[in-house]
Amino acid sequence: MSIRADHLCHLYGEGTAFEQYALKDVSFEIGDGEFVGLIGHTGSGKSTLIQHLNGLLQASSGKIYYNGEDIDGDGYDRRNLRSRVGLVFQYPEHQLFEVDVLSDVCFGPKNQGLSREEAEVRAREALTLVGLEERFWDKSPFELSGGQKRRVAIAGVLAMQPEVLILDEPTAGLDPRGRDEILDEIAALHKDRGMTIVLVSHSMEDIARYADRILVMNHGEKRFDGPPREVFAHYRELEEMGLAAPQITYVVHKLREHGISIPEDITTVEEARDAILELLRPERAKASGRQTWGKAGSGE
Amino acid sequence: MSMGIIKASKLIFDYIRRDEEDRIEEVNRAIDGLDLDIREGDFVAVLGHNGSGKSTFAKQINGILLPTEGTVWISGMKTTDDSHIWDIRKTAGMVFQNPDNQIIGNVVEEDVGFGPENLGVPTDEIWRRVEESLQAVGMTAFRMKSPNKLSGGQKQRVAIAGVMAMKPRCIVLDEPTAMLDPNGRKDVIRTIHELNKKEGITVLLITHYMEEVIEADRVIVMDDGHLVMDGTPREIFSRVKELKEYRLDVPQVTELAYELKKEGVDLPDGILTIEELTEALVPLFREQQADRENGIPTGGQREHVNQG
Repeated sequence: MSIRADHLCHLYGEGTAFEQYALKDVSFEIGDGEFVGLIGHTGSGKSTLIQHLNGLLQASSGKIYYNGEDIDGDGYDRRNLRSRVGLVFQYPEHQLFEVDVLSDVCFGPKNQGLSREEAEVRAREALTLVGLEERFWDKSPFELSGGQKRRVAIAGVLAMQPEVLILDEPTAGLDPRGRDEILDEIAALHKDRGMTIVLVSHSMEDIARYADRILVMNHGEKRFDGPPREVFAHYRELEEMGLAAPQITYVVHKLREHGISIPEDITTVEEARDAILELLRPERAKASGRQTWGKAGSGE
Repeated sequence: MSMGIIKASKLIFDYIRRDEEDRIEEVNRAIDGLDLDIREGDFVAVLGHNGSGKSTFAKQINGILLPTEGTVWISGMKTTDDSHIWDIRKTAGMVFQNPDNQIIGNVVEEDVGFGPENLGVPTDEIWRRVEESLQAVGMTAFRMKSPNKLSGGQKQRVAIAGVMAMKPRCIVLDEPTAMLDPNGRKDVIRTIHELNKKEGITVLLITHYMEEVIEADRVIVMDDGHLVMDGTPREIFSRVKELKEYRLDVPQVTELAYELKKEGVDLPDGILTIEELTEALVPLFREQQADRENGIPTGGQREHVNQG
């Protein structure tokens, strides 16, 4: 199973003086069970791109294939696609509207044609997955905290049992713990259920920690596509695009400037800690059979 | 008695929900006995998890919400005193999270002029203020543009200019960067620091981004409607465990330094910047290297590294 974008273009205001490419010749393939981070500055085309992936927007040219099928092809069931590729918008809690949490989460599956009973089974399961305690289920969604509302909204998409989950900045406005909790739950969906995840985020730290692969968009074009350590090695180019690398990457580069031969592709606190300890305590590293203190002072 | 520009004493605020017959259904205490005094000219960062009471407190500062019990003074004026409410709002301006909810003008300069116009400022003076405020936030080049053509960070700077044009002595910003990309975030934070330094405006910055806090003069942490921590960024970020208990975090460099210290590496407390961390680490690497070259087993530098 996969999503494939093939020379995707999206033109706003086609044929007018305001004609502008929102997406320009974007191609990639996201395989089954991948965890992809999507980054880019405001207006880089990220949101336009993800709306193509479940057929909400139609490409000006180019194609999207879901499991090999052209989603704009004749007779393709796009309604069905939308429940297989679940999209969680920015600030999804603004879309909550039902009288209680459980009914709100039932809305999606009921729309898929399930009975109230079946929908409730799905809703209960989804709410459990996002870690919202049962005592909140009969409350009005508007009485909940920001993090709880966000969970309800994500559960609403999960209840449709999508194969792919796309989230547009799911942690914006949440406190650090709330952010970690939501991301950990998303990571668990990926790990335990094999769900394919596309995470749009402005936090390079979060992307470095969770994604296996990063797609970088800039002015409607795909600029980088690779594992975090490869992509963040281009931190100077990322800065020119209004992005950055995680703070840790800068620490590592600073140390290298001082001639410390720490690997340059480190992107998380844990990796940095281990690498620094290894350099400071080579004999301990030797005992565990790892590489020892290298050519210190000769770093470029 | 000297009093800061913002002062709260025994402040309590309850959100009260009533049914159709006006009977009280539920009372939620958002602020529970807050005492706080903020000195004019300070840059104060307010941290706290969602629901800790920080936004409720922000709304007390310009009288959007009024105390259930206790008192809030802005520049010596009580917020409960009706006759002062306009002066209070002129003294303390607010900027909120979503720029799209705060911009009303069709052209940037119009939007910035809206505030002073509402205050009845004479036209010449309005234009002078628009000019100055746009300059202060670095948006002069955009004055004739439509706000909806701007990026999120630019919109927030326009919103800040709009507040500046009312000549406040204090600006309260409630998560102004939550919706911005890294560059927009940097621009907005730089802008508020400049206003604070150059114009001497008191800043109260509410944020969830720990990196935005390190240059503040003072950091206060709220939890459950109480003030639970109060100090310089270095003091606050030395208390990593405590911060995490309040659902907060520290910048990545501080976290890395903390993790290394836990492993016995000799580093000072409360490291805040990349430079501080590298400066502290490089000598340790050099020593290790020298010891190695002199054939001294690394166990010899136990004063720096505790072999766990």
